[in-house]
Amino acid sequence: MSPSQIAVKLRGLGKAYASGDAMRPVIEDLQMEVMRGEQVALLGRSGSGKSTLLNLLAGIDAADQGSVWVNGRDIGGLGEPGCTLYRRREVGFIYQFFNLIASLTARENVLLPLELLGVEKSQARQRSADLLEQVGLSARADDFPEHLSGGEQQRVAIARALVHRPSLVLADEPTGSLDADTGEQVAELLRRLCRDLGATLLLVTHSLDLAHSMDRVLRLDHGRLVSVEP
Amino acid sequence: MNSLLGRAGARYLTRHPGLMLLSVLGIALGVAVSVGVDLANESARKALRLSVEALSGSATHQILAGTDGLDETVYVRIRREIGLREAAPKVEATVLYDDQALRVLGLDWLAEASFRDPQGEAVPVSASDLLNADDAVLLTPASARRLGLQSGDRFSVSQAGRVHQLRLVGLLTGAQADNPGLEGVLFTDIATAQERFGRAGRIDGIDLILPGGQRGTALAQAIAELLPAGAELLARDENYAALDRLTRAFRVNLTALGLLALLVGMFLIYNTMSFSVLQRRALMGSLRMLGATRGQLLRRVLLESLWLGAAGTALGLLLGLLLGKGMVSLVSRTVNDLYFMLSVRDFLITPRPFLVGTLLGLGTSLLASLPPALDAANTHPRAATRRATLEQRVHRLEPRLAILGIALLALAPFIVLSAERSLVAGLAGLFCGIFGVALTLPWLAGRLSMALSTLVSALPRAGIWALGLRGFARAGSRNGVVVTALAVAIAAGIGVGLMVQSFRASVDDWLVQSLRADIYVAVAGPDSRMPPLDDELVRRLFALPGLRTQSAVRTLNLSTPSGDLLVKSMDLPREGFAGFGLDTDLADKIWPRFERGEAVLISEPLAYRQGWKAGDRLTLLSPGGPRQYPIAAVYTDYGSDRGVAILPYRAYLRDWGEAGFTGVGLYFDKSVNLERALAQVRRVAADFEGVRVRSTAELRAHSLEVFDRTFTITRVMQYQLLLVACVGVVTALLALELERVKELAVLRATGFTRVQVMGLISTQTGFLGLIAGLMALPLGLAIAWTLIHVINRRAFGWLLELQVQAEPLLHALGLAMAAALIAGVYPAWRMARVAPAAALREE
Repeated sequence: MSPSQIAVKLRGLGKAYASGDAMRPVIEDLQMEVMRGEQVALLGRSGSGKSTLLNLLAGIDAADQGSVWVNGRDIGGLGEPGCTLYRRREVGFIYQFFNLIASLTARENVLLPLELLGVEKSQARQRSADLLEQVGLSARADDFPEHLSGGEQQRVAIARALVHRPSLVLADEPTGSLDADTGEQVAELLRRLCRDLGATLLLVTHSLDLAHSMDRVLRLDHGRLVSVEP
Repeated sequence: MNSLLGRAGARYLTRHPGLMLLSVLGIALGVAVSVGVDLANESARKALRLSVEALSGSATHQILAGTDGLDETVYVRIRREIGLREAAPKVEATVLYDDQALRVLGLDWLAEASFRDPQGEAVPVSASDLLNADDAVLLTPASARRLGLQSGDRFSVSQAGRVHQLRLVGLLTGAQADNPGLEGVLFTDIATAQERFGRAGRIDGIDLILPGGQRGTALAQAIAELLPAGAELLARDENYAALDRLTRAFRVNLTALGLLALLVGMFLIYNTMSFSVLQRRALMGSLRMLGATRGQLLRRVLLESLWLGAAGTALGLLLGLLLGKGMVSLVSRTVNDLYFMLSVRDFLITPRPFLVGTLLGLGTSLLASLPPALDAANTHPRAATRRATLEQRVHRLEPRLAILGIALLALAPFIVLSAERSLVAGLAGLFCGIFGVALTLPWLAGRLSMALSTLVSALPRAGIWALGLRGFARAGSRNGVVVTALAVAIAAGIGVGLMVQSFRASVDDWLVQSLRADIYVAVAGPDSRMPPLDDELVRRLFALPGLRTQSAVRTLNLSTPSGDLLVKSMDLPREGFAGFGLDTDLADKIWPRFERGEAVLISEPLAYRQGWKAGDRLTLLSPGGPRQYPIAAVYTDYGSDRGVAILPYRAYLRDWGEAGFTGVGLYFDKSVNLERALAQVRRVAADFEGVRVRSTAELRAHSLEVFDRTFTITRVMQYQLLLVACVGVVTALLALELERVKELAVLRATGFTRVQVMGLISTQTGFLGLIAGLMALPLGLAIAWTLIHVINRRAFGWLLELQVQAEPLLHALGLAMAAALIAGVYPAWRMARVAPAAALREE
């Protein structure tokens, strides 16, 4: 495997949180590599360190030990402003509870990352319109989130996470608050769009079906990688 | 700034219009009170300037004479020996017309042309009409309208027991006709004024137009050398500045109250902005996840608050204009009562208050929103993924603010003492202390509410109360800010209220102590230049049956090397001397010297202002030259904040050679029926015009009436301050309920009735008021102490005793609870009407 094909590389990663007077390890000596364009599911019980791992990958939390390399760059050395720009350019994040901005319409939510990047207005409009069409929400583009169903809101969130063409998409239980059918549709959409984009997808889930629809499944337990499938 | 970020912020605000409007109103009221006071102050100040300018025409300098005026030959010498043609003499007097004080200005119309009537258009009658008639006067058309007089009317005015028949021969025309500074001024020929008002051969001043440069300086020097003792040559601005200084302390105190309202408003802005940031923490986290930088979020929040601030400030300026218009009469009345007869009564708008109000409104908005803006900028992206409670951040911030508050509190005394006599340093220290306490209060409110709620919850059958109080305690930090705003407003009310109450009690004590006679007879009129009472009247009064003894006073403005001084020359019996409230031993020691005319007393304000003390010497410029009098004691006197010296009448007679009294006090035998005696005195006085007879009780009541009138504006401002705080309570409660809408919906879904929800919220608001009231008590006492011992002392020179009674404190506590409960009615009503299903659906 050539280094240029590796999207994510974790070396000796460790993270602990204070719990009373003691430190409780959440991730311990984690070694892992993910290829560019690969779609990986992270499975594990609550508290196994899945969400912490996503936070470390997004650069919103700092590792206590080890290093996080994304696209050949150690993000631990970027500092706060560097991490902000890294997220702005290279990361798309999808949450369980959508986290759309309630005071912006679906279209405006999707436009926001492009505006932060300073993409030219007409180009930004075109790209957000394309993406909204791909997620099947062209007709609801001017609706505010409160008028959309959960599935629709998550589709807007996916469009917002992908509109700036990130190389790494992180999804934290994206189907966790949706019914089974809707969840399946949303997951399928996410996988397809990431594939079209060539983006690497790391997805945290409790659904075995969803996990097994991914290229690879990593199982975490108490912060350690306990199995890799296939 | 990104337009979508801006749009998101703007829509958040427009989605909560009530909250936004109340925030704007909070800022607006803070700005309005501050601008209103400033406008009223500036208007009165401008009125003072216009009055001075109008009375001196286009003179560049004025020669001001002492009480006795100048010999008119001084004027002749200035024209002949110095050769200055642009000089005009004048005689001034104050007369009463229908109980209204009017200023008489006697002018030499021939010399006057270059001063106020260069085109000769002002006087509509021939000069001979004025010169040859000894009753001819002129008024501005506005004055004539106000007084109900028409050209050709005859009317009478009185001065010191004498009635003068005057004739309005015409109304001023041209530019002078519209001069607001000439409102209430009766113009007459100088000879008429001299003859009518007992100033034969004397003039009260000379207006001069001196050229600039070296020639002007040389002329001024030559004139100054020519002046007798007691007269001084002042540039017009110096004259205005001297009067301006007199009213400065009064204005500064009012401005301070206005700024206090703004401080309360500032807490409201902080509350609104921190609430809006806390409520949007998830949104801020999402934006940070999307790549928004800290700077972008900081700018966004500051810009939002700037918009709110701008809207509030604009509304505040408008309200301030209306408020100022309402308050100017109160300010002018106090200036008239205490300092100077303003002839200008109009509301004069100057741009400065608007400019200052704009800067204060926007500045405080930005300052107050800086902490929440920094909070927003420091939002961790993880906030997007966590349902962190809004309390957490505030909880962490509180102890830090409390430490900063304690540091400011510790700094306050140093600011106060940094300049021993500076009023501004005193007020700056007071504000620093109040601000320090205010920063500590949210933390304290949190702890107090926890303790109280635990206490109440432990009570049997606490029921809904306990639930409400626990909810209140949980939101302690959030409540802390609004409790602080309310507590500061209530504390300011307590402080100012106690100060006024202590002041009033001190004045009352002083009146009781100093008014030793049974009946007082005095010349009617505000001017210390009033000629004395008719000798015949005094003789008849002193011959009344049953009269045990009498006191007499001649009130004068005498000259000292450092300017004019109000002097009361008193002829007192021993028991009258006790009225100065001196220690018995001291009084026994001083009395013989006073009686012999060998010592003077000075009032506290005079001692404070001049730095004089017992043992020093007071120099007065008598006709025979400077005379020095040992100061025997400093006594309490609330009659004048400029200060008074008490000169034995014997000394006045000896050194000035003038007899006559402007007031007498009559002491009757105990067996005499005082009502009958009063009736008898009134009958005697009725034969003399312009004489005022008052019993001790009437004089005391009148003095307290003037006192109460002086502090009306203070009370008005106290209520304005409370109004600002009430708006803050409504805003905060609405914000709190918005935050708890889901929790309340769960309660409704569980079976809570609307009434119970309202009861729950009312319990919390009442509790909020109680805590604010409890915390306001010590702060209010501290403010009162500072106002009395620092501010009042520095502003007016008075030493007062802080008198604390339970009633005003309980009143303040009740007011805090009532204000909170009233402010909570709307939020309670609103939340009781929320449909549970809709609220539960909302994310």
